[in-house]
Amino acid sequence: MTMTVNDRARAAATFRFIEVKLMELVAAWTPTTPEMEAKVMFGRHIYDHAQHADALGKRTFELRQPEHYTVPADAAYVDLLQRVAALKGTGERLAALYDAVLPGLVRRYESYIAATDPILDEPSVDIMRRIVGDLRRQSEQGRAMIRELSLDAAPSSLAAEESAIPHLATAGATACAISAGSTSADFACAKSRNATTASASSATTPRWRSIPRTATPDAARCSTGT
Amino acid sequence: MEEHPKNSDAGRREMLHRHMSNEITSLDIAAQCLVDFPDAPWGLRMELARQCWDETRHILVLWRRLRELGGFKGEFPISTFEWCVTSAIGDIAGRLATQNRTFEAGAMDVVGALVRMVRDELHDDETARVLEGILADEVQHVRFANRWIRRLASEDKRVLMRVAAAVRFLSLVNAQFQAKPGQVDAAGHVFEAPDQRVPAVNVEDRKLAEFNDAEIHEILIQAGFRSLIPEETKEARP
Repeated sequence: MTMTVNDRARAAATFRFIEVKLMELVAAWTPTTPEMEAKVMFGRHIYDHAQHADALGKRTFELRQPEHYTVPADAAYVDLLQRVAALKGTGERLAALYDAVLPGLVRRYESYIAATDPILDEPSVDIMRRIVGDLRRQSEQGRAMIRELSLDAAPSSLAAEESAIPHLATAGATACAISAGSTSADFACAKSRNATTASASSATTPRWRSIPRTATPDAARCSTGT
Repeated sequence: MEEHPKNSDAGRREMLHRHMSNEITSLDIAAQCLVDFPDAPWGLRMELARQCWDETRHILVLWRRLRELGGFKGEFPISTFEWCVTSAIGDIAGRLATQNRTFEAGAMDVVGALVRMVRDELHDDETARVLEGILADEVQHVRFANRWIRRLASEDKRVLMRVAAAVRFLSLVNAQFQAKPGQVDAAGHVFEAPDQRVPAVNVEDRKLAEFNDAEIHEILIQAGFRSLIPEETKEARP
């Protein structure tokens, strides 16, 4: 079943939240990373994430929401990003971001692309395909940086933790579309649950009946475009 | 410590190394603004993110030129003065006024003169083109700061007080670091008199960066009315 416009808007808004968080995460690492080569790479990736957030934010406007509408990701995912942001060593930073977080995020974008209607939602798909290309390039650059600088970057357990987070979204209706998995079975299940959730919640959960056009309380500062 | 003559190979490498270091500082400052001011308007954050990217390109191209001339990073001492000053300012308008509108605008004056010196006196066209390319980007960094300060101030007049406080803070810091008459630097050379250290004003680029006539007039007064003459004007003279 095709996702609703609201579902697609919330998915784009959730991905936007994550891209803004990644922009801030890499920006915070830039002045505190002593190796010039890594600092320069972070500086370049800041603008990648900003452009991703900008494109997704413009897309939310096309999906009947405010421009740069933003919905916070699931608390478990936010917690993961916060723990990654708190890392100090350059090697562990690079391993966590480019070997764990970004590959997982690529899979979630790909899950969405596979789940959404390729014609009806082609503008979102087009944006996300470009983002996926950028994130793959970033991961390759991050791994090359670890080799170039001969950094101590033990395989991060964060990859498994990232995969274990079932949804990016805060509630069930769009969670399926941006799940960690990418199999068709996931989506069959997800779409079914999506339909059920949307139907069942229409009377009891206003959030899924209609998305407010102004900032939702949980969207906090990000909802108006930061 | 050693001070190298501008027209020596080491002097040219030190100049590239110094500008590369300044670009690193500018990257750090723009990135830190994204972290410290998450509630800034998205359009301004996009400008700062773009500035981060620009600064990385400047670092890379200066580093490339430095290596082409036989230099390497770490070859000379560096300063993080701009980072230390700007990061001590607690609001976004104040930081834009200090870093972009003052330091980067000052860099427009310095680099504008440097492009000519490197090309005409050192006959190093490649380095001159690198600096000229960087200068074009700096104009945009100053311009977006001017635009956003005006916009933020039009929405909230208190922003002007914060900008004034930041400029006052910068002038106090500068006063503390001002060399006294006859004072020698770490290399044993007597510092130039303050009026001789103010670079000629790059009027053309300051106009492109949307300083208004009154602001440019004020800067010209501070510089003793020394200014760079646009190339086309100079060529048109008999």
